[in-house]
Formats: sequence, C-alpha cells, structure tokens
Amino acid sequence: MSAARYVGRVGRLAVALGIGTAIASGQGAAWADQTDAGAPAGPAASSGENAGVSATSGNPTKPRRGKPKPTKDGDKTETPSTGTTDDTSADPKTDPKTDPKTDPKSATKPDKPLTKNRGRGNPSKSTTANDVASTAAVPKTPKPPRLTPAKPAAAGQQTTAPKPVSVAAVAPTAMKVTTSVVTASPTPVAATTHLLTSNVTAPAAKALNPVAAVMKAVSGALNWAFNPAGSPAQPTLAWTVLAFARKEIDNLLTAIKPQNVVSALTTTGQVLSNPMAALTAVMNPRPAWPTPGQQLSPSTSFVDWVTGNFAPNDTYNRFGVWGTDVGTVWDNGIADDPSTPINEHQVLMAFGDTFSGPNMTGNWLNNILFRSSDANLADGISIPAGQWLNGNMFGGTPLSSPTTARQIILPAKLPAGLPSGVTLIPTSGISVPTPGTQFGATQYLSFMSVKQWGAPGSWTTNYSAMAYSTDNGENWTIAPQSVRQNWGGNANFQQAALVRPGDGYVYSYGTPNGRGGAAYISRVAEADILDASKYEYYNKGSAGGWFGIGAIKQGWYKDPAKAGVVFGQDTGACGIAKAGNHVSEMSVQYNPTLGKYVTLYADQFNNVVLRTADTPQGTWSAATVLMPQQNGGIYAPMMQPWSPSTLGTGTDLYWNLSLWSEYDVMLMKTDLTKL
Amino acid sequence: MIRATALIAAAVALATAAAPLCAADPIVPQQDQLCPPTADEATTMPTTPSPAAGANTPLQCHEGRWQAVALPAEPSDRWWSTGPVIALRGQGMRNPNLMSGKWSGTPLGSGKQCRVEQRAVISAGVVGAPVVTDGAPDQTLHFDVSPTASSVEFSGYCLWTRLS
Repeated sequence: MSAARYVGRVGRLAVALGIGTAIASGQGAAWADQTDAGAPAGPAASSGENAGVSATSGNPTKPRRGKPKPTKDGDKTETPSTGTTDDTSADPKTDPKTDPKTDPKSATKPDKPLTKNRGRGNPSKSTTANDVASTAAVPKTPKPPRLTPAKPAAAGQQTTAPKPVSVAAVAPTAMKVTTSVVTASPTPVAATTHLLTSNVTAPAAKALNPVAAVMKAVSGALNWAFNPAGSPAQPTLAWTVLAFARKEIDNLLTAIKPQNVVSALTTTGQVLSNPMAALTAVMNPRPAWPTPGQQLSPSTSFVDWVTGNFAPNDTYNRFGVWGTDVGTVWDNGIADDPSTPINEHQVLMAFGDTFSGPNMTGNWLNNILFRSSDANLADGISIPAGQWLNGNMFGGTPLSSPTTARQIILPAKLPAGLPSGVTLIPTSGISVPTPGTQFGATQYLSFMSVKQWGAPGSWTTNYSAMAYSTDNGENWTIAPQSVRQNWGGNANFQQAALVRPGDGYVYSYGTPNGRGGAAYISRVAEADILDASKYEYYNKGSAGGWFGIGAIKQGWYKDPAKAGVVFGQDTGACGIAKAGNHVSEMSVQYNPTLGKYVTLYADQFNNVVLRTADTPQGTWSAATVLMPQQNGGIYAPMMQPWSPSTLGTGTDLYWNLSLWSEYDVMLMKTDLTKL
Repeated sequence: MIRATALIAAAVALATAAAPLCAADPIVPQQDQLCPPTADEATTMPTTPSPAAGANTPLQCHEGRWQAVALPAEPSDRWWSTGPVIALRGQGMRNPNLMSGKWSGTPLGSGKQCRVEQRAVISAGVVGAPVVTDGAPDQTLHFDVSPTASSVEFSGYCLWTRLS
C-alpha cells in the first residue's frame, strides 16, 4: 500500500479541479472590466466575434463577401425552372424570376389592389349594406397570378388604384428593431429554451459520426467562448486552452483533408458544409416507414424526409433538431444575386415545437425556420449548411451555435401584456415585396399562442398574431396591431393560411383553434398586412330567416364577426360524414396547372383532402381525398411553392406533412392528373 | 465452521434464486401479453422507449391483453405503472397522454407506494422545476395535475386514476 500514490492522485485531482474551476467559473472576470471607453477589455478576438453576431443578424451589407465560394452543387441550389415565361404560369410569389429590385412593376408600384373597391372609400368605415353592395365589384374571377413584370394594362389599373400605405414606412422601424433584436438575441434564446429530461440513452448516431462529433465539440467550445451571454468575460486561460484545442483540431483536420481546412475553420459556416457533405454516407438510416418513393394512395407518394436525425438532412447533427412539425413553407421573394455563392432565392419553412431529443425531450424550441434553394423536389428538399457568424442570412437556419437552430418568434418579444401561453406555433408565412428594405422583401409569419393542448385535434389558443422579418427570417418582430384575441369574430382566425394572388391583397384564411372548425376568409391590402383592423371579411350572403330577418348580402365586411364559412362544416344530415367536413392546419395556393386556387388540409377522418376554387373566396369544390389517414397520425399538409404545378411547369404538387409517430416532417408528392 | 459457512451460503443462494418467484412484483407490460384484471382499460407506457421514436406508443389493457394504441393516442384517465417511471405528457404539450385535474395513485401491492413527479410549462418553451409527491406505503396518493403540465412521471406499482 502506498499512501503516497493516493496523495499523488489527489494532488493531480486538485490541480485538475483548480484549472477546471478557473475555467468554468470565469474567474477572470476582473480581467474583463470595461475600459475607459466602455469597450470590453477582453481579448480582441472576442470583440470581433461579438461584432460578428450582430452582423449575422443585422448586417445590411451583402453577405459572404470575400468568402471562398463553394460551388452551388453542394447546396443543390438551382434557381427553380425558369423555362416558363408565360405570364400566366405561376403565382408571383412563387415566381423564381420575380425580382423586386429589378422588376419595374414591383419597384415602382408594388402590389396595389386592382379593384376599385379599395379606392372607392375608406373601407374601414363601413359594414353597411352600401359598402357591401359596392364590394360586389371585387374581382370574382381574379386572373391567374402574374408571373412577370407588369403588363401595360395592369399598370394602367394600378394608377387608378388607391395607394396602399407605404410599406417603406415600416422598413426603417423594422431595421431599427432588428438591430436591437440582434443585440439581445442570445439572451432570449437562452431564456426560452429548456432541457427536458430524456429517458433514452444517447443515440448511436453520435458514435457513427466521428467527424461531426469533433466538429460539434469544436464549434461548441467556440460558441461557448464567443457567446457573450453565456460567458460574459473570457478568461485568458480559457483562451489559451481553446487555442491549444483549436490547434490540435487544425492538425487533425489537416491530416484528414489538407486543403482548405484552415481557412474553413476561420469561416465557421464553411467548415460545416464540407464535412457534412462527406458525412452524408454515415447518417442514420431513415425510419422503416414510409420508404422514399412509396405510393400511399393512387395519386400521392412519399418523397423523402424534410427533418429528422437521419438522411437526407440529418437535422439533428447539423442543427440540433431531432423532431419537429408543421413546416409551413413559402417563397422568400428575394432574387438570387449571382455575385454571391449562395442562392438568395429560397423557400422558407417555419416549424412548430422542436426538440433535440427523441420522444419530445431535450432542448425545446417553440419554433424554428429552415431555408432551402433546392428547386428539384423530385428527390427531396435539401437544407443547406448553417451560416454562423459571417453575416450571411441565407444559411439553412438561423443559428444559436454553429450546429444549433435558434427559435425565431421569441416570447420575450411579445407586446406587453400578452401571455405567451405554452408555445408559439407558426401557422402560415408569406413574402411581400418591400422595395427599400434590406433584401427588397419582407417575410410575414402568422402564429398562434397555445394556451393548452387537449385530446388530439383539440387545443385552445390565447390569440393569433403576426411577426415580420426584413432579413430573410433571421430576426423577427411581432406586430402588436396584428394580435387577434380568441374571442368574437377573431376566434375564427386563430390559425391562418396566407395567399397572395397579385391583385394587391393578401388573403388570409382562418380557422378556429383546434381542428374541429370551418374555414373563413379575410383580405387586406399588402401594405396593411400587419394591421388586423384593416382586414375585410367575406360573407357569401344569406337570405335570413322569416321575413328576411338576419339576411346578409354577399360581400366583404370590416367586422370579423360577419365572416362566413367558405368551406368545411357541410350542413345536412350527412355533413359530418363527408370528407373535408372539419378543417385543420391548412395551406392555400394558386395553382396555374389547374387554373384554380387549391387548399390542402386534414379532415375529421385524418384524410388529407384537396379543394379547389376559381376565386379565393370560392365557391370551393367538394373535398377530394389525396391520401387516407396513416398509422402514426398525419397532419398539417403544407404546399410547396416551388411545386411544378404551382410554377405552371408540371402536374406534380409537393407538400410537407407532419407524422406524429416520428414527430418529423415529410415531403409528399401528388400527381394532379391522378385525382 | 466450514460446514456452517457452506450451509449459510447455500441458504442465501436458495433464497436469492427463489426471490423472483415469491415476490409480488408485477410483470412489465408488453404488447400482446396478458394483463391483470385490475389493469382493465388502463393504459401504460413503455419504460424504455425506443430511442428512435418520435412519440412513444402506449399500451392499453383491453380484453385481457396489452394492446398498442393507435397514434396519436387519446388521453387516458387510467394509467398503470409497475415500478419504473412511465413518462407522460400533460396539456402543456401537443397530444397529451393525460388531462389535468384531480388524480389518485393507488398502490397495488402490500407495502407498495406511489410517486409522481410533475413539471409544468411556466411560459412558452420554459418548464418549471419538478414537483414531487410521494405517497406513503399502502396509502392512496391524491394530487392535482396542472393544465400546463409538460411532463408527468408516475412510478411505483400503482393504478393512477383521474377523479375529476
């Protein structure tokens, strides 16, 4: 027995603990005292990275200047098919060629209502029959959405249309707010995430991904070191240790891939993309069901997974997203800048409750955003690598660390007095051209505050509201005037589906909380999209009861309580038995291939159904079942704006679909010729 | 002395080997296995869920057998735990396994006791500290489940019932 041996061990332990404590406790706080000028006295690199944080979210300059240019192949970022120059072939919001900066129509007179309705008087005044009668002049058969720059006729109409409130007026405020969001972002992120305990051991995927594990460790360490909220003052010792670790990792990676590694490490966003491409082969296998390409109905097949800790996107190892749902998707309306390596023209996909572990455990985010420039949906949709601390806002997702997605709609940003509820779930997004803003387009995202959940298909909301972003979804601001409390007529607009046909209006469909209701419709001039008081609500009219009591004329009303059902909740003895009788999370698009507006939702039988209409308000067709209910529970069919049928280049319609048993989002395809 | 030691060792070995046969420990529910009458129409959750699953699949004791429940499962007012923790979602999460209200946990064996650990969502995405309620041996445990409970973990050999 050698006591000295234990003494030696204790001594080493003490030294280790001492170093560990010194690092962990940030005992160098005294070294981080502010200088006379008020600047952090920490290492210069720290300041630089902090500045980088701001640049990531709010830097108005062109992203990725001076970065090594990767090929677009790695991102699969082809601009969507531009073979169609036919001006009736696609919805302008989904038009890949729409460039608000270069489109003379968009640039000069964006999106004014074409109808005389808006110009005839102050629409906010009236819910009178007079007003209703005149609103009958609303375009009942809107032309197929315009793809290309203005037609002379349209321009002529625009000159007579009332000028919507200038969106540019929003822009400066938005930019200003954005800046403050950037500064504060690390704190709310930390405050709104929570570690939920998991009963499950760590996935084998970790072990299968040695390089990813190394990258994660390095990036985690760098994140810790650079994160101003998590580590207010960086001890010199920590920097020394990190420098050593970084050197070692440099050596390791250089040995693996001598080229470009050092430069890649200095631009963290890039280091993520190259190794991940190589790691595709070692991703977890997909779930056993469904298999890619599997036909689930005569018209509809499963394409591939959008999210999940497996191929093709492995959102767990790349973004810390094991499970999520919803995935409402829209075109960002930002044209590609050919001088940059990333395709800025993207679809944005907003997701609901997101977890970093299985069975809804681990880190919990209420909502996240993924981006993609992948125009070829036939082989799935690829989510590119994140862009961390380099000022680029077109990476795969807004990040809180190099490999962790960040929540986008933050409870801390809610208007004063509004409860957050248990979660904030996105329901629909849309882009509207806003010349003069950072990228010439503003993203709008409707969301609901869930008060509590109930049995499947049942939940109660506090309110719905809208957030907006002028930096491609990197930072979001919640508009107080967009809030719709869950009572009165606004109770029918707790979940939204937004569509922008190009007639100057944004149409917003609404459903009550849960999945047991019908669909209603409202519209608003694009410039007023954030102001709930400016919306008009459609009622198809009714003859009323005895002596016409309760009769209402067909038209658009300012009172949300006058909104009438546009589809769902069929009446009659057999109404409940009809497909599509209950409306749930839904999406709406104009589909040039069909020449009709199309909506998708899951009904009371959990079938995914499709309805069509010639105008946004209908009359809507009977529901056609695209796909019957599936084991595991399917919900939230969200149409892809770059579907060939939506672009007018084919007959396939792609859509995201959530599968409860996997708690992830799938990409589906429907062949419209087989309906 | 050696003989005495051998005798003691043999006795201990015998007692250890026979223990599982004599104890009243319940059998861990498994799909398509028989379930006891006291568990009739009660639901249970695998205590070691599949590491790959997005959502756990509960088992319900129906017509004498544990049967998998189609997902998303309806919330159940009767839960069955055999000892290890079964982790459930409350109404703070989508598709809750159980509803809020007054609940009881009744021990199903002599000397058994029930334990519940709850967490509630205190604001969007933020979960509060766990609240643990322990029952006394052989005593029924009464407790409230919050309308914003994110997780409710039952443990002990107990039948859990929603009272209101």
